[in-house]
Amino acid sequence: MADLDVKVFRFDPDTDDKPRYDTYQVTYREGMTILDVLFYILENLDGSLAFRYACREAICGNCAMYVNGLQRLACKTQVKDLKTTELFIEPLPSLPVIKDLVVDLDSFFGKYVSIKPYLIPAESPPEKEYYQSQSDRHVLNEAVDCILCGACYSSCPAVWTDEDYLGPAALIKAFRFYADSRDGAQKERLDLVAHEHGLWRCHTVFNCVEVCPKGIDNTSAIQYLKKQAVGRALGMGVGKRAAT
Amino acid sequence: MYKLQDPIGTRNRAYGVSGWKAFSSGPVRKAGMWAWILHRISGLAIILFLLLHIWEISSANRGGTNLFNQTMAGLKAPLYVVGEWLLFLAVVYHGINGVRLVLFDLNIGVKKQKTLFWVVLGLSAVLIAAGTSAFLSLLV
Repeated sequence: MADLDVKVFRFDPDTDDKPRYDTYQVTYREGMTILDVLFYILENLDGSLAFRYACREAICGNCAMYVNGLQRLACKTQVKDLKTTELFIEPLPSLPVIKDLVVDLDSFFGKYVSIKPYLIPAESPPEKEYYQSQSDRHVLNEAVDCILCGACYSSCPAVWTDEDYLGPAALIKAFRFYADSRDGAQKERLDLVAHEHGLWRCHTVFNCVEVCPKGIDNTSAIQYLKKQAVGRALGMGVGKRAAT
Repeated sequence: MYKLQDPIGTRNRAYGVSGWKAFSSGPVRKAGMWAWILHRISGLAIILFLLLHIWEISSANRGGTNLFNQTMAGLKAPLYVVGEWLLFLAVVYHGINGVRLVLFDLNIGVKKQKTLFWVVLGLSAVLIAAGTSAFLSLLV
């Protein structure tokens, strides 16, 4: 593979009026990821480039960015897989830019906190551990994989046009606790998401499913919660658990 | 914490409706996005037709039988036949994709959404092919 032609989004609020794109020539080596490309630039070409990263193995969710037209994790994306030597690296679309590739995730995490992402048991905790059968745990397999990287949130056209929409990440976490066999606050959880800026703002566009670096089917979980909310409104009760 | 001075000015592209264009120009694996954009556009087209339809029918109120007959005769012009054909495309797609969306709301076929989108396009194509001959006979 030839050398890479990398165009990177640059913006520094202290000195710049408008964002610009800087081009860097990066020497390709076998096995290079997008994060390696950014390190190469940082170490050899331009020390002022700002970007978030931590674990380098797709588990911390820090390095989500917009690479060649799609929300991806920089550490998990092989340059080879993009099948081009021309790279465009930009911050996550639709989120305010703090500097270069770093975006402001306050709204994202604010909405995550608002759905109460923690276990609320029905009765006082048992003396030893909570029992959860394998089949009960199986329902949550996808939802617990979410690393809160923000890729789905950035790709969702409902988020683009409704600032208050909870977004796919907060809703998958709402599902994760709603469907947990140990949780006892199902009524409250449904109240938190079954409103105009919650479940009903999802138009089943499936962009979140396309971009999720962990392969989570957000839409199935959201549709499951919608069905539960409708069931409750029709007086069919809540609490019936089902695998998605 | 650092507070953004001008969050709107520093938003990068793909925000709001302008994001539709940015997203649909990227890598091709976005069947759901295309299904949704087509659904929105066809829906808006049908609303536009409804307004025109009310205006056209209300000619009976505005000018009685004469004006109504005049308006109806005017609508035989090729321009309106083509417009009606476009409406036909919109109604066919919007209706069939609507069934796809109702299935999703019943939590049926959510994981098969791409296949279902191709089925919607296939059924639409068959219906449109069948209906287009009727429109051609109006033009000739």
